[in-house]
Amino acid sequence: MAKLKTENTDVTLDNVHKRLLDNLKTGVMLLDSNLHLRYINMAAESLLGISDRKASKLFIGEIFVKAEQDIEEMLASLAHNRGFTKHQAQFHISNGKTIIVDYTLNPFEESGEVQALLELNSIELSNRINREESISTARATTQELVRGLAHEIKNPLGGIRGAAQLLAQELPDPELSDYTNVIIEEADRLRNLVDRMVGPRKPLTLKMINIHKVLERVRNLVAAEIKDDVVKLELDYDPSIPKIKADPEQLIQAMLNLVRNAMQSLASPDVDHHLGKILLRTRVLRNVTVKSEFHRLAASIEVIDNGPGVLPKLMDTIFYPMISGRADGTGLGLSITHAIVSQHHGLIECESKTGSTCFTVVLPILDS
Amino acid sequence: MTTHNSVWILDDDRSIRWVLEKSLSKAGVKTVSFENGDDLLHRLTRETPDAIISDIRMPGISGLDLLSTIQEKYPKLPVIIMTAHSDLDSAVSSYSRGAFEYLPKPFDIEEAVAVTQRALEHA
Repeated sequence: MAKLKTENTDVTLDNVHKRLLDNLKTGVMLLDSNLHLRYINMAAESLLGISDRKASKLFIGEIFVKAEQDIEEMLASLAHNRGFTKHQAQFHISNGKTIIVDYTLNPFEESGEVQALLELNSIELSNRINREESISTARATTQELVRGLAHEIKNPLGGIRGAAQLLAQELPDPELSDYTNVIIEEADRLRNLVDRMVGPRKPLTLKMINIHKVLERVRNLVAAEIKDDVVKLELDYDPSIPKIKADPEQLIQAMLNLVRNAMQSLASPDVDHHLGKILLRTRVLRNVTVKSEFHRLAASIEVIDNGPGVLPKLMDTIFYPMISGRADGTGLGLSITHAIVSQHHGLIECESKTGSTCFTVVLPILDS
Repeated sequence: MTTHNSVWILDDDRSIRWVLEKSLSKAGVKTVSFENGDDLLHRLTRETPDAIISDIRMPGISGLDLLSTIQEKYPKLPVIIMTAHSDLDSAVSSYSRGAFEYLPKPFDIEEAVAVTQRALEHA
């Protein structure tokens, strides 16, 4: 069996073992007796936000910042050759983010040398999966309700609209048709409303597309609405993102809703209009779980604005139809975006605080 | 039966039946209305119209089941399927089961009349 030295460490692994370790969703690290890294698998790399080459021989304290207590416990565990598990440990990692993990440290001896195996399971990831699943279930229930409601509304609308049209034909004075026109137009308005509530119902027309073409189209569409001195639109594209299989028209709609929301949030009177900024950022994600499915590659598209943020009381429901923070909002934009992203087997998340609101759309990239 | 101008309307919604009866009779079409599919099927054993306009979702036999039955027993009878249901799936499935035309609710009465007249020419 071919032995190969992994690029990041001094540990020698054969192909099968390397592949096994890299396909685990559990983060696996091998530490020497002084807690310097000897090996790290892909799940741990992606969890900790460190790249394979940089990880080599790092001290654990450089990976988990300010984790003195945990490091002391790990050293004690090595000294006494006794493993331990800790639940819901919070670590600050080198890229400034905070992760919550369950971890297990198991010391063992190999050719007279003490080492430790550190296993990491991200709590946040499983919480996120649960949350996304419960949003999806709730969304499906709402969708059912909205469809039923739409059906019940459109039937009587047929009667109202038809009767108004028949009445219009009987009117002796053509000027009177202004009255029936109002009835017909308002009936049509209601129909359009329930149609939009039900959301996109067209099957997707899938093509291999470059996600940046979608974003450039969105940028062109909003360019006319943006006055340069009011809102600045900035781009941070990762050109290495492979093409994805998607319906470009639907995705344009989904992203347009997000960018328009950001613009509307920046137009609020609380915002200093000279500082309004929207950032479109794209990245490749590796080893992500979307809707309980594991994907090697995914595209992340972020729409970030520095507006006043989403009202905390709306945070849990913003993706539902008819929920809006604006008095004049229909509350349909985000629900449509959510529906389109779900049709693409992706997920959408929102993180928001005053001055920084980020909507992240994650779309899986299928292995070709 | 020299001219084809008899249409049966099937909908559990009274206002829809009324609107269709009025608009079609103005266009010179004779109509008979039914509240449920079973009554319509029963009457079909005695006489046949030139076309049928039917809703999809009703108590009793559904419009799509009715369509299948008619397709089987009266393959030449055109059926126009109406629906207030927003999903495209029912439209697609009614086409595949041989509906003559698909009329989404709420409809424009001129369109409803035009669709019906096309069905009658086809009859």
